[in-house]
Formats: sequence, structure tokens, C-alpha cells
Amino acid sequence: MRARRSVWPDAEVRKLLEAFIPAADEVWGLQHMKGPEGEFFRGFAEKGHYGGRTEPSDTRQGLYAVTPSGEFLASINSNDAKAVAGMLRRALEAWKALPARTRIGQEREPSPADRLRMEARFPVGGAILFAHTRDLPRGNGAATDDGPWANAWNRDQAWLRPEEVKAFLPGKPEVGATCDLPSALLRRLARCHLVDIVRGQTFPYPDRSVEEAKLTSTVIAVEGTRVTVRLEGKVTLRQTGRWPIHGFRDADAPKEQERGFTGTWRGRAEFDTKEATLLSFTLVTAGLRHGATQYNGRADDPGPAPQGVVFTLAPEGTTPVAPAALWEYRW
Amino acid sequence: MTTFATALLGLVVLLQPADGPKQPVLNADNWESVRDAVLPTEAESAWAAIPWRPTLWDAVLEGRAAEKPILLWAMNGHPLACT
Repeated sequence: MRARRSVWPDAEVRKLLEAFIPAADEVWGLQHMKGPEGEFFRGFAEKGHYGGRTEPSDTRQGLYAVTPSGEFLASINSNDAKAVAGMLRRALEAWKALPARTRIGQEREPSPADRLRMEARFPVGGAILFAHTRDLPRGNGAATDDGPWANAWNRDQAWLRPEEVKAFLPGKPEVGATCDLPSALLRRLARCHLVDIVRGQTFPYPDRSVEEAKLTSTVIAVEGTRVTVRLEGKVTLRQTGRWPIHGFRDADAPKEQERGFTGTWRGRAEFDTKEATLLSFTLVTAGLRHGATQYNGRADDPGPAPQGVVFTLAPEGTTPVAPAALWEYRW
Repeated sequence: MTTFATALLGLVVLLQPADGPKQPVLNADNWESVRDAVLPTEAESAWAAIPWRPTLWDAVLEGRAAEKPILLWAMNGHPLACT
């Protein structure tokens, strides 16, 4: 996710990008999905920077410039803005060199049945939260980190069903009324979203890792159909087991590990009780994380160290993108 | 780091025991500062201002109509969610 900070803010990259239709997508799905969408990706990805590669993994992640007909133009997997700008320039030269008739293509459009995408599981009437994660200052006079990960952050989407949105609202919308959030919802939010993704993806916690997850909602203001609640709670996760922590290097030699997070929750949400919708939502989590996983880059920084996770209501019109651990939602 | 983060740093220092980091505890006075320290700044959010189509196929269809090439950012984990 370093490219968010190092590549896309670059002025030259932004200018070159105007000549393209930019798209973002999940590569494992594209590599493995059946039907024309996956076939389209695999057709050009094998001509790119990782074409044919099987070790240390068969991932095809990176940046690809292609024609709408599926002709490969250029590709790269880099967090360096100058290198990406060079790839975009090469792609545009290749595009201009192609006969116009070969650029567009006529592949059939996938029917809804062809497109078995995870986003289809987003519940009608549900809510999208952004879950941003970042290390907090460690209090030793140093910044949160140094080197390439200084001030690093990551985000995910967290989805709520309509009934889960309503669960944040006490039954009686009167000042002082309280309710505790359903355990299943809190456990899911904790297991899937209080994970240390600051330096990279990691796997969710298993349900048995949740030692405590409690969140209380208290009505603090009522103005007509607009109800404001305060959110307070605490959470503890702890998992032990055997897994690698050095990426591919120790993939075949997992050792005993422990990881966890212990923290508190605090936030505020506003509801329109007439429409049964969220008007605003902020839930802050702050605590100590510890441990490392195979791809989250913490082998040299296992903590314990302070970390924050902030859930906010995504702006209206945000496209649902599947949370990284959607399979753990069991929807 | 932002001014908020600097203020937070001072708070955490106060909570810091000699033998290691102590769990930060949210309260009515600090939770909004922590929120602002975690959320990306406007500059850090510049990547999100790019009109990313959320799937490759969305871009293919639009590329055909606009007769423009596609730039696909494909990662382990969707780049618009968690990668």
C-alpha cells in the first residue's frame, strides 16, 4: 500500500494517468475467477512483469497498462513514482503504435451470472465504514516509526447489515438510554478489523481469540428524529499458534507465535430515526498491538506498541469493495 | 505527523511507564485527537481522488466507449480496501 503515498500523489504520474481509464482490483480474484473477466486479465498478465512466475509466489500483482481489447502495453510492480511514470510513457507509445482497429476489442460483456464478485454480497440497505489503521506515537521521543514505514497507514472497508446499524441505537431514543452492542457484531469487527495491517495485509483473528469485546451506546442528544449516541467500550484479542512471520523466508518453518490487541473504544454516531439511517459514525480504537504475521512486516517490530483504528461512515456513493476478510463475515 | 499527533505524543508520554509502552486509554478529552492522528491527511488521501473504477471490467467497458487505454492497479487485497 506504499504506492498510495509514494506513487499516486506524484504530479507527473497524475498527468500521465489522464490518458488512461484507471481501475483498481483484487489480483487473486482476477487470477482465479472463472469467466471472461478472469480470462481477460490472465490473457495480458502473463505478458507482464511476473508472467510465468511461480516462486516465491505466483502472484501477478502490480500495475498493468492494457488496451480495452486486452492487448498488453506495459507493466511494473513498483512503489517508485519515476519508474511508474516511465511505464506509463512506454504504454502510451505502444498504444499509439497499435492500429486503431486492434485497440478496442469486442469481447462480450459478462452477465451478472458470470461476475461472481464478492461485492455482490454487500447487503441492501447496509452501511459502509472505512477502517483506517495507523501506529500511534510510542512516547519515547521517536516518531511512530522511521524509514520507509514512517507514518504508514492502511485502510479496509467494514460492512454493516441494516439491522446491525440499528443495533447501535438504544431502544428508547431518550437521553441517558443505553444498550450493549450484539456480541456477534463486535466480535466480527474486532476479529476482522482490529488487525495490524499498517505495513500489509494479515489474516483475521479466529473467534476463540476474542477475550473481551464490549461496546455500550448511550443516547446523549435528541433533536426531533436526529439522535446522537456516545460509544464506549473495550476489547482484547489474543491468538497463539504456529505461523511464519518473515514472508516467504520462513514459510516452510513456522514457529510458535503470539499476536494480540488490547484497547479501548470511544466514539459518536448520529441517526435519523425516521429513515433508520446513519448520519455520521466515528468509532476510535486505541490500544497496544503485539506480534507479527507472515506478510504484515512486523518481524522486526513486534511491539507491544500503540496503534489506532478508526471506523468512519464512508461518504454517500462509495462503491462497496469487499473487506479483506469478508469470508469471516460468513454472509 | 499532524499537530494532533504531536499533542497525542505528549499525552502518551505522560502515560509511559519506565518499562515499556502502556496501553493508551481513550476518554472524552483525547478520543478526537486520536481520531485525527489516525485518519489520513488531505495529502495522504490524494490517491483516493483518482477516479479509480472499482473493477477491471468497469474500466474495459469505459475504455471501449472512450477509446482510451486502461491502467490497472491489481494487488493482493483490493487497493480501494485493504492491500
